[in-house]
Amino acid sequence: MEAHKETAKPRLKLPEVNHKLLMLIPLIMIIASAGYVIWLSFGPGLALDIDLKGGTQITADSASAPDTAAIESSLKDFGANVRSARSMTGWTVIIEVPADANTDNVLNVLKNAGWEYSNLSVQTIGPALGASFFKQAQIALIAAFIAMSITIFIVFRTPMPSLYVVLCGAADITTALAASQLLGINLSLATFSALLMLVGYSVDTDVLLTSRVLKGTEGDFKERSRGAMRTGLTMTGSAIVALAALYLISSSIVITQIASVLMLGLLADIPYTWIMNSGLLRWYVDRKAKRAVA
Amino acid sequence: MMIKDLLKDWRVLLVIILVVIAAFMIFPRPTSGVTVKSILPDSPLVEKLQPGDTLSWANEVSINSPEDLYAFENFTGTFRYMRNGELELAQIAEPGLKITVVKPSGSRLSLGMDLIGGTRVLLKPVENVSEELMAQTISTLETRINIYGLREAKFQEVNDVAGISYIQIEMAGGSREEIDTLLARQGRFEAKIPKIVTLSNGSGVLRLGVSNYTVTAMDNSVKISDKTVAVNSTFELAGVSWNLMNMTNNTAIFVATVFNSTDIKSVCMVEQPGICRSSLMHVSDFWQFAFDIQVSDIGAQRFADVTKGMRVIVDPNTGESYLDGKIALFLDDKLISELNIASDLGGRITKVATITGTRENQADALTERRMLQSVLSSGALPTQLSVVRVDAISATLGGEFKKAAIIAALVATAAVASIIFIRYRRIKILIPMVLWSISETVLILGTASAIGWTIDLASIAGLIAAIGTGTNDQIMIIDEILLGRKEKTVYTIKQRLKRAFFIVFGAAGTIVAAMLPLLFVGIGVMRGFAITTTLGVLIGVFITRPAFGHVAEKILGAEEA
Repeated sequence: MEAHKETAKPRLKLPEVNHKLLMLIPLIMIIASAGYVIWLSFGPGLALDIDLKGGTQITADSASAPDTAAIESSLKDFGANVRSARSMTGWTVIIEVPADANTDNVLNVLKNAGWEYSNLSVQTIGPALGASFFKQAQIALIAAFIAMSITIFIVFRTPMPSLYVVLCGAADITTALAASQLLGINLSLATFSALLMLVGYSVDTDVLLTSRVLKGTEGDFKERSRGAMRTGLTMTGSAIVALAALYLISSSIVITQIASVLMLGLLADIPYTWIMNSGLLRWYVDRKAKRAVA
Repeated sequence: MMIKDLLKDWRVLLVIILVVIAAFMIFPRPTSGVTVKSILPDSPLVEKLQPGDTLSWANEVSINSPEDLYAFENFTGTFRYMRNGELELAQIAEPGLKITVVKPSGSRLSLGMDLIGGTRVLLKPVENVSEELMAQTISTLETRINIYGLREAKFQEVNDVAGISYIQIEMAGGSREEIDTLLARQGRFEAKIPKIVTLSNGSGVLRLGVSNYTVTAMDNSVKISDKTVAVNSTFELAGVSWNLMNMTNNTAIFVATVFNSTDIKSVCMVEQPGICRSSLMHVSDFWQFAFDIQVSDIGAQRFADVTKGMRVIVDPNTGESYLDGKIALFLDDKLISELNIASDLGGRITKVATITGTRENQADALTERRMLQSVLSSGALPTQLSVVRVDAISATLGGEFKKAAIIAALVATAAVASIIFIRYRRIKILIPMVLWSISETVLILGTASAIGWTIDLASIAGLIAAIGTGTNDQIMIIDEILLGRKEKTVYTIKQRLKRAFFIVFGAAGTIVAAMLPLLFVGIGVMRGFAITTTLGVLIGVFITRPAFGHVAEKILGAEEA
């Protein structure tokens, strides 16, 4: 086949940087987030929502800005933890108390303190059940990862590029988890699902890149990966704007949690796919070419 | 012209036909009447209506909205109404129907409790129970809730990966107190009567029916019918369960269990003068309720045997005479009422027992009576249950959520559409993309209503994820076609599409693989997420995306030509 130089200028032009130097960005990201997650799990523990650790969560809408510190001090006897979130229509207050606290008493204290609320929701989960959910969620995450890896290997049938895709997925999940913990988003069944969903989204762009590079017939590595990148960034970009819309509009905690974790993961996916996986693939393709020559 | 061509393709036609079917699945024809949601214990329609019934007509007026029925709030007299298409009558003495009704939704899509509000309770048997016992427990609970008559409730046995079974109950409402007292209560009923045996020189006689048993006092225990019984221990004697409650030098107090849960044959729910009693009285500062229970023949015989020969005492104030020893009624080892036994009942076979109680106000007394009636009538649960999870979601949240969801969907679509437009600058591409995303949404929701899947918050998240991957795939398909154009080697659009679909299928496979484990986590809390995502991905790769590929091929192919 005749070597062909693409004459049309690509619309997206990246400055020429040493791609080995560029690889430092995802590398630092992986090490930092993995380190943070490991430190959290062995040290202070991951911040969990009540569905994974047990307890009672009272959520209520408030028309005015809630004074979380004041609410917390008025509920001191219950050992309450109070957070608030801004939604389109007002504020949502999230009060966490241990599972054995009497919620009626908690609500009475709030009422007596003159705090007005509406749309009250109360969730109580026994600590043992929460712990078992957490264990199951961890198993599910590992199982999903294994199932996903097997599928990738079946799709590509070449070990190294498949491994890169799996690696990218793992890096995505770890970074999304670390970043969400850092931003005070608790791990819950909802955020766990978001992490699993991230596997899917992450794989989308990696499969795109890998198949364009390995199965493409036109242009050199750079051209193929740039074409893939243009498509991939459009995909990631549209997903991020859709999630941002959900995040800003939705008043549901479940939806905002899922949206924010997915957004963090998708942002992380950009360097992981287009620098790390791309770099690894380039190295793989070069080595294979050298071997073919020798 | 091109649209006409597109309509000739079977893939496009299939999508259109399926979308129409799905839309019919979601929105069947409008219904008439209102659905009964709950009946208060003091409603005149208790026993006459059940939650879930449809009311379509009342006293010459057709009922099509809750407001139509609320016009009867001040009505007294004969209330004629159509219940599930049949005419029925009720006498209303005091104003107020005391029921709540809702307009049945025009959609067949069932929305989860976290979207429309309500209470979800998760109960866990304290010990491991067999399938059979679990089913029996659920049926007992169902009976209890139905008799309590408050609200529509959905029961389900759910299992986690570890094989532990739970009972999940979803109700339109319900306070924590109601849950604890109605559902998490085992409901073991016992009626006990104490018998005092006088000891002289360390021995006495326990009389039971026509038999006499000699009681010999020993050190902190007694010897009776060749058995040695310690204080506070239980023993069987002539088919009756006894407990040696206390003993002194002169007396031994035995407590006989005369009735238990299995002895309850029926519970009087509505007062029927001369037949059975279910009453409420205002007595000085409080409200007293009373209702009868019918006991079994064996239970009645036990009562006769135990009360035979009991001493009679006379109340000096009233002059009434009672047996020396009250009958105490226990529910789950908690005393609910203690009553004098009229002296003429001693030794008689008595098939009716009356349960009484007092509360400070009328509403509490009514609720308590209804609660006890429900628990006693449904019988004891074969196992003890503990409440491990309660979710109570405000009902008003539902309406707001729907509004917010629609706004969010519109804004998200607009945001994605603008990115797509900036990237491709072709309205021709944008229109089918948006149309296809809407079609996928309709197809997923239609399938959900067809298989009776309840859409909860997690399912909505899954729907978003599925539509997101759908958009990703559309971008991939379009780019693959556009990219192929620049390549020197001439590929037909068909070949380019094939390449795109390799990526589409590969990515879809991995998403489905990643979602499968979620089906089993947290007793299915996130199952909705996994199911809608998987459903969306499958519908996408097998139905909508091939059709989209064809449409993109035609639209972009026309450009190339």
